[in-house]
Amino acid sequence: MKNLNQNRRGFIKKSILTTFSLLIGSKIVYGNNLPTGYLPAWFEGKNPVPEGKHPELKILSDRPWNLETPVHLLDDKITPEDKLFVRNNGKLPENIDVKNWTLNISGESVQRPKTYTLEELKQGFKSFQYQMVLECAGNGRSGFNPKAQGIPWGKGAVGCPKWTGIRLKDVLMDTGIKNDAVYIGYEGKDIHLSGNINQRPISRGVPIHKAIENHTLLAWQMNGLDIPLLHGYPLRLVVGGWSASVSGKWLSNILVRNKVHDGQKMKPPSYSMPCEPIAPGEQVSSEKMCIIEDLPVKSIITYPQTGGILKKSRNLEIRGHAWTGTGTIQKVELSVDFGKRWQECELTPESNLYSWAHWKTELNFKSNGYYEVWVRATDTTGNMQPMFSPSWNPKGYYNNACHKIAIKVEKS
Amino acid sequence: MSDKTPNEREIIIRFSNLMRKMNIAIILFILVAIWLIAGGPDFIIRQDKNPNSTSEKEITTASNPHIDSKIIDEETGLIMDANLEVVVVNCIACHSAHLITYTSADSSQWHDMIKWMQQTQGLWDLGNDEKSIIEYLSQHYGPSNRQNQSEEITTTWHEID
Repeated sequence: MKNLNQNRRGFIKKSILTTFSLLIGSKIVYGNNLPTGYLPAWFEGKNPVPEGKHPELKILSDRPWNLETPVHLLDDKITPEDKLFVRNNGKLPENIDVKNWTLNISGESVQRPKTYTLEELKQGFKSFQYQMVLECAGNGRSGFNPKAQGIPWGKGAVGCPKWTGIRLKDVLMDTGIKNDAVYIGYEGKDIHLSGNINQRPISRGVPIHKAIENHTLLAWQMNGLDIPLLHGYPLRLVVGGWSASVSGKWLSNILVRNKVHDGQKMKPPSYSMPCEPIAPGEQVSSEKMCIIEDLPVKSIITYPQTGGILKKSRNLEIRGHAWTGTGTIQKVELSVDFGKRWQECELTPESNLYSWAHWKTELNFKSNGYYEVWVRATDTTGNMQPMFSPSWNPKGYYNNACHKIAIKVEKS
Repeated sequence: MSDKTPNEREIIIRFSNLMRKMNIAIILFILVAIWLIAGGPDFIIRQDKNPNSTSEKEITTASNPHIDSKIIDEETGLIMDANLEVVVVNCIACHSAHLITYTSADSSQWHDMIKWMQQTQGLWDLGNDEKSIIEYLSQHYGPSNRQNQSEEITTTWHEID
């Protein structure tokens, strides 16, 4: 393998010496005259958003694909495909053969290892439909100071489509699990960025108690249609209430483990936070980090978009969603005076556990001028959103600070 | 590698060193002056008016306030300097340049990331290039960029009623 890599590097170097230097020079000296054919093949710097995605999604990385949805585009109650964020770790699988797609259940703690075809899963078990939030653990990362390492998500790495599938629990009952089972791990068909087929881009999992919850699905449909390729076609896990990194896509294997799963991105600092809180920017060793679990309580304002100017009246219809991994949403409040006073909103509860609740209200601004509207949700376990970024951690996970928008009132 | 450098690249390096030493106001003044002297639109250094165009090769100055005096390579989005080539060869072969541009790290942190990629992600031995790569990364994507501005409300004003 090393030789291969060395050769590859040699090849790339050779070709780049003859093309790239020329290209750099051309930018000043030759201007528009140089043909585009000189671009090396891996220069994909300006990929448009992939097919099926809203053009306003923000490209945070194009290899692998990481796309963020601007918060005002999340106004739909059920997030449509084109407005669902993308967080991929590897390249998309190629040449998917649905008819021969199988899910293998194995691992040291499974009683009867078994392989199911998609059809066997669809026909052999009772199916369920739940609307459930998918949220990247790093959603909100860019709010941390000092900057945390990782993709700088704003607040739009979240969405809430409707998923159809079967309960993982039912399949695990069919295969049986041993008494020493503590964790499940997933493996998918996505391709490692290096192209090495023996490496997995990501292989995470959850403890058994989470794996056998009713809202942990093996899903093949999103919003009533086949799950799109970018989101895990033809089969994926959807684990309600935890960060989306445990909801493995392009699912081909479930491993029932007698220890915490040790797949790619299971080790700290990946998807881990200091077990004991640290000061912003402080170093922490991997042994002192714990794997993140339930999503924190959170809310967003999806209408209006930040920057709205009111000219005809001082009243504003305002709305959004709220969600939590610990219980359900109990109340959502707004403040227009930087947190001094809070006004409770009308709430439409979640359609099922781990979905999002919808909130709305009408604001009446007392005077013209610049306002910030802050939103804050509280869940049934008593957890409330902080007004500013909480518990700084090196990788910037689980930032559930209040969403804030700016409004100007200019009524004459 | 440097002995094979074409004259054009020398121009770039000198130009970017010059840019770094000057503040943006002076640069703008000079660019405007040159633009006027050269007869405006025919001059080949100009702002990119069509960000989707791949057929035109131009240099663009960055809008990011942290890197305002750097020249950005339009194809990769990376800051141009003498070490860019070796970074492109070794890093952008596998992943997007975005993974560099959104990161801020000092040389020891970049070193650790390279080690991690070698140990777990299949990155090859960088040999003598490692020093140049770390120098490039820590110089242009270093800790000076680590204060975050993003929690401020960024706003384009628009009427809503």
